[in-house]
Amino acid sequence: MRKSIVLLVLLALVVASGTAGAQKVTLRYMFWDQNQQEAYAASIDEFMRLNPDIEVVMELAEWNDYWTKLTTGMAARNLPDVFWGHAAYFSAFVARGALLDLQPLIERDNIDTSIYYQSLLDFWSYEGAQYGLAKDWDTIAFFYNKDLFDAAGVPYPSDDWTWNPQDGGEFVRTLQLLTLDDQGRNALDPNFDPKKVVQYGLGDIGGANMQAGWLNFVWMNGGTGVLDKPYGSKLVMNEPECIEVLQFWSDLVNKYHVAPPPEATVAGGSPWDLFTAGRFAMVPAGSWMLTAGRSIEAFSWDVVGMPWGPAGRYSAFNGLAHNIYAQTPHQEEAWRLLEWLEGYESQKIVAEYGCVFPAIGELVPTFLEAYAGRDPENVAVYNDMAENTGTWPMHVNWNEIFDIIQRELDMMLQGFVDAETTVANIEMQVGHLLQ
Amino acid sequence: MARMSQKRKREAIAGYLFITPNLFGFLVFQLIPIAVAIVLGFTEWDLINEPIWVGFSNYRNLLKDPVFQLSVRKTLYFVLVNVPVQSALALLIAILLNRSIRFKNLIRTLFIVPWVSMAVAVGLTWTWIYNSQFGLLNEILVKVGLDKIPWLAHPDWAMISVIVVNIWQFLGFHIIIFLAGLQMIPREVEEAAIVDGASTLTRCFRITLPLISPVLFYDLIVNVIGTFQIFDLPYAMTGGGPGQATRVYNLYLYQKGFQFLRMGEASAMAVMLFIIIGITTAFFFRVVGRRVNYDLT
Repeated sequence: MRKSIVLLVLLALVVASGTAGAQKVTLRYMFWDQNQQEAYAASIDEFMRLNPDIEVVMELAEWNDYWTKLTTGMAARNLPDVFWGHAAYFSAFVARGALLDLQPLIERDNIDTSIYYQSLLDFWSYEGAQYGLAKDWDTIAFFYNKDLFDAAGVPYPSDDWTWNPQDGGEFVRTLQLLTLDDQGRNALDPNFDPKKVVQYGLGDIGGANMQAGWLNFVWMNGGTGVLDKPYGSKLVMNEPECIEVLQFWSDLVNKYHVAPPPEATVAGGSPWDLFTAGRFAMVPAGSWMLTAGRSIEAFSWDVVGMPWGPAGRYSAFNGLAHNIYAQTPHQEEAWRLLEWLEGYESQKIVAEYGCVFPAIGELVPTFLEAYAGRDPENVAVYNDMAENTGTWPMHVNWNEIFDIIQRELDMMLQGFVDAETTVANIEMQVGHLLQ
Repeated sequence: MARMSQKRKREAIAGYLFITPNLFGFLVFQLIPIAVAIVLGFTEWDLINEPIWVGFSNYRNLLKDPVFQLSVRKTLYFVLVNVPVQSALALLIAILLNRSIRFKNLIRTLFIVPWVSMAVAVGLTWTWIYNSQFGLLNEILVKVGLDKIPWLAHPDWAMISVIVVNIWQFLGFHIIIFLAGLQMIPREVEEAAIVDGASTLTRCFRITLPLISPVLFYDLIVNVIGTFQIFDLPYAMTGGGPGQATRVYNLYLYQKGFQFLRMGEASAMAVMLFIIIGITTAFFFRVVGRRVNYDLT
């Protein structure tokens, strides 16, 4: 008798837990930036409190592995349900049908998309469908090491500083004063030895650094960019304004000697490591680097906007969004998570951590408040940089196109070829990929 | 054929039992993927949608692709420099280590350590050493009054710099193989030659090398096959750059498959590499294999 009661209780337990388990859905959530982990964990905890039927597992994959993991995951039909998307990779994924079209869900649930910056929403639309809302946005400015400026007796750069591709202007002069050889001579000293530089004015200008690097200067010189339009089939790097800037970029390394060749920063630890080690006085940095900057204790630092070029001041403007895997078995739950993450409450939680600029304009002051009383003082310049922005190149074969551009630009920056030949080499190779 | 004796039969069964775990692993992790790759080589597959049958067009496209041709040349160069230098160095060191010298065990260990280390970790460490601006090697060159060398920065230097690391990393593996061979040679043979008055060099070329020729041959084949498949070091050290300087075959294959989402072409590349290696190995068996002396085995 007692035995059968025990059995009955056990059976009831099994059934109960079985049904409870069936109701609870587990979503996999993949992202690449460890700096944002804490903020998003807080937001997701709140989501799970409000949605007890959903369990979210966060999976961090570093940027370098992230896209390989996603593509292999697709091949294995085993992709995270919700994951971060980036404009550079979006076109390849969306054109192959890997992402879920959100348009019907947006309409069904009457989502008010007017709270987001329109240009951010545009990133995620392709052939009339919408594949993401907007998670955040970022612009580019320069981080600079105040201590190195003080030591060299150079005044901090002001927000109205300038550059030009002919002689570099104020921008290059500043960098020259901050580039030192092993005898402490700066790059303007006639005895300066460019072979024995111990401190560079500028770092991180490799071909791979399009977003925070050369592309901004192309726009500031009046150039169109890389492609004639998003998903365009014409390469426009042969515009004189672009070639001029690429040559200027090469001059920074090979003529003015104020920046190391790309190999030195690819192979010698990241440009960021070298900046935090005091080897670079400045690095171009996206606003997403602000959280990483908080761990700098060895020196005090600040940010300054892009120097004004012949055609004004421009910055790349990019934003991330959450995407949903087209084949997810939990489409409804994934959408609820996405809706929460891009929504006002979640963006407020994340903004309070000061990680990334929220995609909802109204929350920008909340984000800036997180920086009150700590470096960098001029954090608001990132907001100013959003005034004039260039168009991000998008193409379904972008990974292959960019692989070519990056290789050829690095050859140029190492000083082996001039800008004109480089662009001709790029044109020759990308032709068949653009069709 | 005569019928197997009872003893031989038992031995054969034991032998098959011994290789069963390995055979199982080979089937699941090698043979099936190989078969899948052969089939995928005839398809266009972006990893996301269903593969589409395209016949031989991947092969035709690859043969026309200048980067593919370049990657074949780069890999051949890698093999041609790496294999002879690495094997000769390993043989020399093995012969030295086979004599009674001081700190023998310590030296052996030092050669083994890089081999058992992860290639990516080794590669990254060497990029720091090689760094043209801040690297250890150039720091030393400048200290002694020489010019910096663009180890990984210049296309003319990068490949050789990577090969040097590869030679160094796997030296220990080849030393072990050669040492095993050297220790198979009976002491009496050597002693008899000494009594007959043969010089050290004569003994080396007339006795030692012929007697270990099966081991030399084995090592040659293993080295050629392994070097054709070089991937991790260039991947970690240069990413194929600067420009195209170190874009070896498997690196391009990886990019095709996982970066450019052209898994069909990547599979076709894998099949072609298999054929290239097969032909090379057959060539060595015909040309070198005949001269191998199996007296000791």
